[in-house]
Amino acid sequence: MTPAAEFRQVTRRFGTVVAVDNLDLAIGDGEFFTLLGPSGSGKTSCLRLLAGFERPDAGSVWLGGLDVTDLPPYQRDVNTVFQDYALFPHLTVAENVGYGLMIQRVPADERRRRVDEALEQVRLSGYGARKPSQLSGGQRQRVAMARALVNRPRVLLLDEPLGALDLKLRQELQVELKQLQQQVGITFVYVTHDQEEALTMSDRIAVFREGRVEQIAGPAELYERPATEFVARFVGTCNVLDANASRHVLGREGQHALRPEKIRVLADDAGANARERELSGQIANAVYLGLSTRYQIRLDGGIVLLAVRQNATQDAGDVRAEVGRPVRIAFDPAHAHALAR
Amino acid sequence: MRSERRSPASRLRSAVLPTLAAGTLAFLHIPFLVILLYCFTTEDRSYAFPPPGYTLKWFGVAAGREDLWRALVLSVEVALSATAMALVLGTLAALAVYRRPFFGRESISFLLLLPIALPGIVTGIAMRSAFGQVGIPFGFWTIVVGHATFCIVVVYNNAISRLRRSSPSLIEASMDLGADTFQTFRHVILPNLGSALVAGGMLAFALSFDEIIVTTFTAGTGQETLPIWIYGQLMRPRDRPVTNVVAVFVVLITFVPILLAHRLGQREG
Amino acid sequence: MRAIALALHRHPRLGMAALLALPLGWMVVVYLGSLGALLLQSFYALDDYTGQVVRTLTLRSYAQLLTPANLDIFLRTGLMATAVTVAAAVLAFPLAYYMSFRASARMKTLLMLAIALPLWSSYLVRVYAWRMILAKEGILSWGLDAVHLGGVLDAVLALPGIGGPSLSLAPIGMFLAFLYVWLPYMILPIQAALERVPRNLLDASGDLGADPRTTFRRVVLPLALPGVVAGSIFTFSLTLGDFVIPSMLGNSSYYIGQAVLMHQGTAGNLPLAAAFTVVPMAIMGVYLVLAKRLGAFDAL
Repeated sequence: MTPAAEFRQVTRRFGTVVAVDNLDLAIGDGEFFTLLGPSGSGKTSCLRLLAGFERPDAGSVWLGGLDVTDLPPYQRDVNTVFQDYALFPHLTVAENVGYGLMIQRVPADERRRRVDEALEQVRLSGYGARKPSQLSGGQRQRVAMARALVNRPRVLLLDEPLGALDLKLRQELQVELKQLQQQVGITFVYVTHDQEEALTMSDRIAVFREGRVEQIAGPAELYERPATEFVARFVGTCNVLDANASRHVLGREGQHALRPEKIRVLADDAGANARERELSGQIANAVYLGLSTRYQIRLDGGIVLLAVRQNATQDAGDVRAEVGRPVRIAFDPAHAHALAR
Repeated sequence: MRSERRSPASRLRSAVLPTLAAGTLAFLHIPFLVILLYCFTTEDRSYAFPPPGYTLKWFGVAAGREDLWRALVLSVEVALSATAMALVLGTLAALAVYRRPFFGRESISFLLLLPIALPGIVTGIAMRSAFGQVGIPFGFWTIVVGHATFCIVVVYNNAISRLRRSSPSLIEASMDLGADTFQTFRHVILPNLGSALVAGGMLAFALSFDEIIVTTFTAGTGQETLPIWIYGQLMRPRDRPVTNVVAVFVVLITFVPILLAHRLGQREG
Repeated sequence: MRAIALALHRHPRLGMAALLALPLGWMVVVYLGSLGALLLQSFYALDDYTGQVVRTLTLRSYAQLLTPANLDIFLRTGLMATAVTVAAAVLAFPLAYYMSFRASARMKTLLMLAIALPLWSSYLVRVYAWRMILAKEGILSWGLDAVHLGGVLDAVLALPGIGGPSLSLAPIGMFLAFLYVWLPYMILPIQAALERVPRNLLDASGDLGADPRTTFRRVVLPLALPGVVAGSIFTFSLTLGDFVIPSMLGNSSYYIGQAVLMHQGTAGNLPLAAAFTVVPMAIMGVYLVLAKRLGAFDAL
């Protein structure tokens, strides 16, 4: 099937900085695809290349099987939800949402109908007459969504749209956005630096680093089987064992990643089961996180590992008292994943 | 405010500043009251104070002066033309310059500022020499050209500060939604600029309406804008209060657009 | 149409150039061209016999500037401009300071309006007002007599150099009028500069042990300086070139503006008028460069 969006050997430079480095990427039709990475990794540049706000210095950009490299933004079948929403301050909510339709000369009554539909879809019916300045951040974000969606683009581009909102609202909207995407069926290309957000919403994630893609995979695959040390560390927290540590802890050669929640901190009377290896050490640090407790454990031999234990019972106790206590840990070596580099 | 016991000395000291400020303010405004007062005096040859008597007749006399009306009309026509030209030129310059800092940008702002920063006689005599050398006859358009030149910067400054305050993603959003460069200008940039241009235009109008120095050099023989008319009147020892009446009306005419311009500039902050 | 839009989009420099073409062209051709014509004119001279301008390059007109009478004109105008600038700065500062640091938001807006008001109402009218006030029989003399200070006025008027037969015909009268008309041009930039002083700097200064007067001297004043310089550009430049006030309130000694007007008018001696004008132009040119160094342009 033709990919909804494609980068073919795309390079984009800003002066001496290479923002996007010889990128090949294909995004499937109807996917919720996330570009994830730290600031400056090139993910936003990629989005802007798709939208048409920037042109590649090399390579080509394709949308729905068409080469759009030379097309300006207003001739591409994509719409963007901007990080600062970019709502036109001098227009009402309804006029904002209907802007694209107005430019395309859609007749007034059809325009009104589709605007109402779009507003309903984002749960802002009745807000049509207000001005953006009269709305809250979350409401403005939804108007920006409606304004983009009403044009029925083939691909919707979202540039860190939830960045300016507080945590609770963000989590709510993440769920809403995902549901919306599944309802509408459009391809979403989503940019974020928040790995948790990426894991929550995406069908597939591309992890960016310095203009290159380190790994493309679904959330679970990305988390459980990171390809590189960078991915292991960027997505969630991770124990990265170099060759030495791997030999000692796992009995294997090469670099490995071991997620903290895979390591069991054994109670004094408990033991490892058949598949597991058991190691002893001392608790170097303990941090209480409500949901869980995070331990830093210094093994005999010097290697420090991070372990996370869910506080399943209410007797979490005073974690500070635990520091210095000798402890044993157990884990299944199969959960350790070999890293490419 | 902290409530402490203040010594009389410190209270005196803290009263000094407001008093000085008030004094300066009074210095700025009392002359108007004086002008207003002299509109009504019966004495028409000197500025005697206190006025010997009060009358309203000067308003009628002023209304009857044909040369006054001609001067007024000319001033309005010149101001409107100069403002229109300044609006176009100033807006074009602001649109070109506001987004990216580039090599010549500061120089352009400096260039636009020069006509106002250099003394008026410089602009006046320079234009007179230039028009003379090229052979352009002095008349309505030479006045307008002179005025437009120093009005451009007023519009430019207003437009630029508005443009700089607006978010660049608005233009991208417009293009993203299907509008090309011209459509974006029409639907997004221009409305955004709107009130800034009105404010700038009003300031330019007032500036042009009031100008005398450059106008003296660029006008044709016998042409009188209102300020030139007033200047001529001041040299004559008759009908002095008529000049006062005109002065009061001039203040009103220029005051109103300035006030509106100020309100507009504030509102769209 | 769409094709043009596309071309402009692809080549932003082209768009910028297209936008700049008209205004820049205007400024270069009309304004710089005129200044060039002025400069050229100053290198011509008037033939005394024919009364016509001789269009050959010469320094004769500039040489004529060096007569004692003309040098007097420059000196007189320069001194007046300096005096007005200094007095304006001194008078403007308390008001600007009050507006910026003490006034409530509402009061500040009112004050801004109150200061801009005279600025934007007719300049000629404001000069005229002073002519009335300063007249011998006018309100100021009457007021001074009423508080028995009439003698002081006479004493001041008797001073050589600044006095005269009456206030409206004396340099000191001119000084007052200049001060009055240009004062808002000084207040506003100073106030703008003071606005930009971060308030926490004052707190920091106090925290580090400075008393209010020292804080003022070492923190506020230096930061307000660009505003003062910006304001001084206007007061100095405007006084340097003015002919209205000297002709309406002053004695028969000429100021630069009047000299220029006179030479180009009845005498038809455009070259000499041009030469006269080049002097304040040069002075202001240097002034502007210095002012730019001192950061005044950010204050505008």
